[in-house]
Order: sequence, then C-alpha cells, then structure tokens
Amino acid sequence: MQSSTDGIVLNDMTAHLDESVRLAAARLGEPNALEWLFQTYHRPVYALCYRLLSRVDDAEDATQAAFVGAFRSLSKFRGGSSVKTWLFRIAVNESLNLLRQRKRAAGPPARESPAPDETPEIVRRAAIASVLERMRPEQRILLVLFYWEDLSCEEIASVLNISLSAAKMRLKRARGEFQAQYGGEP
Amino acid sequence: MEASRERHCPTFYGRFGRAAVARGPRGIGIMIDFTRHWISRFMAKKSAPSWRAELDNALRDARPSAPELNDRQAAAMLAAAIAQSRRPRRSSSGPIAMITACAALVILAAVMRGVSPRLTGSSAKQSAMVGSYVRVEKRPLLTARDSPAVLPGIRGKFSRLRGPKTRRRTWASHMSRVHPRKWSERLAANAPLKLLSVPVNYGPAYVPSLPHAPEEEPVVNNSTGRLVVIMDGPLPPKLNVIVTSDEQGNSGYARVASYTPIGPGGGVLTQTTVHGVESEEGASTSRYGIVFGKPAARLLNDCSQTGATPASTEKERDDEAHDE
Repeated sequence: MQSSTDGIVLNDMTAHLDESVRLAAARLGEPNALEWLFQTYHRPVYALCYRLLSRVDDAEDATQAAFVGAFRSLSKFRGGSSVKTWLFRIAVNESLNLLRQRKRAAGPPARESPAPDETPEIVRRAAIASVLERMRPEQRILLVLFYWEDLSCEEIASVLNISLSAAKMRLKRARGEFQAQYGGEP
Repeated sequence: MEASRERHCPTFYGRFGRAAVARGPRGIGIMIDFTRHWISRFMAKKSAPSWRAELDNALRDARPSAPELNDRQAAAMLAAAIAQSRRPRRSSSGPIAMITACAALVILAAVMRGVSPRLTGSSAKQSAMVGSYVRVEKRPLLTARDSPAVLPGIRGKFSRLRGPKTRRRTWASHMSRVHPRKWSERLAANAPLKLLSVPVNYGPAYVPSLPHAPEEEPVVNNSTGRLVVIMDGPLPPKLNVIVTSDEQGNSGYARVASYTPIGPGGGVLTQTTVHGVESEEGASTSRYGIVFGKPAARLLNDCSQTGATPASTEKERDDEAHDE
C-alpha cells in the first residue's frame, strides 16, 4: 500500500517535472513543445470557445487566436496559475473580442429555434441556449465557466483576473439574471 | 421570547450553559447561553433559494458538447498558430509594420484609382520579409468614377477638412485614418471588383505530427506561388480552404490564418499554410485548385514550383500583352 502511494506521488512529480520541462522548451519556441501544449489543451480550449460563442467557425478562430496569443506570451507566463487556467483566460478574452465584433456586425442568431415537435428536453435546451445568448457576455461567461466547464470559484476568479469575492458575487448576479429570464423569478 | 425559543428549538444543556439550534428563514442559527444572556449567531452558510437546485440541474443538463476537431483541422490550426506566433509583433516591429502599412496603402490607393501598383525595391523586400507581398492585376480594377472623390462619405469628409494642416494632408494620409471596415463598406457599395491576384509566400514550413496515421501525414507546401481570388461577393470573415485536388487528384485542407480585406472581391492574404496536399515526392509541377468553404467564392492557386516567380510571371504577361 505504501509503495503504491509512493508510486502515485512519484508519477505526479514526474508529470509535473515533465510539464515544467516542456513549458521551458516551449518558451524557447521549440516546435515539439509547442505542439505538445497544443495537443494537450486544444480540446478544452476549443470546447470553452464553442460554448461561449455557439458557432463552430468562431470557436475555431478563437481557439487559434488563443494559441497564437499563448505562444507569443509564453515568456511572460510565470506559473502563478495552472496552464489550463492561463489558456482559458486568453481564450475567454479572445471569445469576448469575437462577441463584441459579432455585436457590432449584428450577425444572425447562431442557433435555430427547435421545431414544435421536438422533445421537451431539446426544447428546454434551446430555451436555455436562447436565454444565454440574450445575456450579457460578461455574465454568460460566469455561467459557462461554472456550470459547463466545472471550474471552481477560485479558478473562475483566476481566469477572469478578479478577486474571489467578486467572482462569487458576479456568479450570483448572473444566476439571478438567468433565472429572471428563464424562469420568470429573480 | 426566551421561553418561546426554548419551546421551539431543541436545546442542549451542558456544563457551561445551554445551546439551542434553530432553523430560520435566513439559515441555521445557534443560540448559546453562557452568562444567562442568549447570544445568537447565524452560521455563514445560508440556505439556497428554492429555485436554485432546479436551475443548477437545468444548466448542467444543457451543457453542449463541442464538435470534435479532426486531426487535419487541428494540425492546420497548430501550424498557423506557430507560424503566426513567430511573426514579429506589430508593436515590436515598427519599421517593418510601417513599411507594410505603407505598401498596403499604396495598393489600396491604386485599387481605388483603377491603376495597378507594383511594389518594388525596399517595400517589396520588406513586405516579403513579413511573409507576404502583393501584386494587383495590371488591368483596371475599378472604373474612374469609383475614384475616392465620388465615394460616399469620403467627399463629405474632405469638405469638412479645412485649415492649413489638413490642406497639406494628402489623400493617402487622409485615407490611412479611415477604418478598414469603412473602406470595405464603401468599396462594397461602389466597386465592381472582380479579380485580384495575390502572390503569397506560404511562410515557414512546419509539419506537425499526426497522432494516429503517420502514413497520412500532411505535407506543407511552402513554395511561393500566386493565389488568384475570384469572388462574386464579399470575402467571408474566415477562409477555410479546401484543397480540392492537385495534379494527382489528391485533396486536402488549408487554412488561411489571416488576411486583410481590401474590397468586396479580394483580400491580401498575409499568411497561408496549406496542409494535406499529398503529392508525390519530387512532384515539381503541383497545381492546386482551392475552393473556399463558403459559397460564391473560389480561390485558385496556380502556384507552381517550377521557379516561376510572380515577377517573371508579370514580365511574361507584359511581353504577351506587348506582342498582342
């Protein structure tokens, strides 16, 4: 039992060391290390962008822009947060930029409303998506990060670069806003 | 009051006094009696409102699953990200950015006036340094009536620009202050732009390894070629390019990382990375037909690796025109 615990600890340490070494190589612009970074994190980053933007094309753009930004600013990453949190922060900023551009361009709604003969589950999902679309991006991000990305309040605070209490308060307000639009109650 | 609390709350008697626990509208309260005075203290945790659990479940259940990126898309994205991240940043490359901006401005001015610019000398070299250089077709792209003086919006601006400083300002320097989006809007409203030829240097070659199928590893075409953009409408905001076939009939995927739209029919492709063109090794005359993923747009790449540079192509074309 003791040896297995030691093994797990050793594996964790090795993985951490491995990540540190790869990050150091990535800072120097080593293509293989950059590729490792991309392969490790592009799926969660892409999923986050898709959930924020609701469009495949925009999500691809935001993902690529996030990795361009990340590769460019790797030297500034001090390791204060996890790599995933740091990448999420960049992706959220890129997604916000795209959302602002979309607002300026006043593009068509991303999701189509479901047909009347759809199942209640699909109708409910569409209603939730519609409410989220109508919410302000700053509030929608809170809900997406908390409910869909399963981030804790501490992680959300780190991603949005705000204090923990501010994250909690904004999450509460976003929740209240969502409930007001979705369920009709504050 | 004290009696009613004692009556309704479970009360515990201990060595130092009494304690009672109560559930109220704001949460769970603990009342402790040390010195014959009730000290009421509410715990920090408040009870959640009644709609909260339902909302939590509804939101969690509605989590959309993102569509999977296939390996080709991911590889193209990675290559474009690496290539772009290696470019000098705008803030740190003042002279190059300025020269590139000047070159772009010259092209814009020429396109608007219906003449054909051709970058020469240091401008062309500097533009090539940052991965792209541009040559516009040597035939009138716009008619004379589309000159800036009659474009809507610009004329009014000129009439408002009075005073000694602005009088000295040239048309080009004035237009450099106009937002590119307004440019494209004005152009879209006026310009029958049909054909734009954009030579593109594909940038540094980087072949990302694919995790599952090494025999299908994409080949990056890093040759310098000429991309001909033929458009019936405005360029889409993103160029997802499908390589339909090369000479051998192979197909692939390409992603244009970024471009600068300069009109309804074309854009300056500042960086392009083509993946998935699986040509045989040593094939020296690959010609790719590239089609946009968007409707009403075609992108043809008559790039060849035979050594024909855009300049020589231009010269040949001039010679042909002269012969005619």
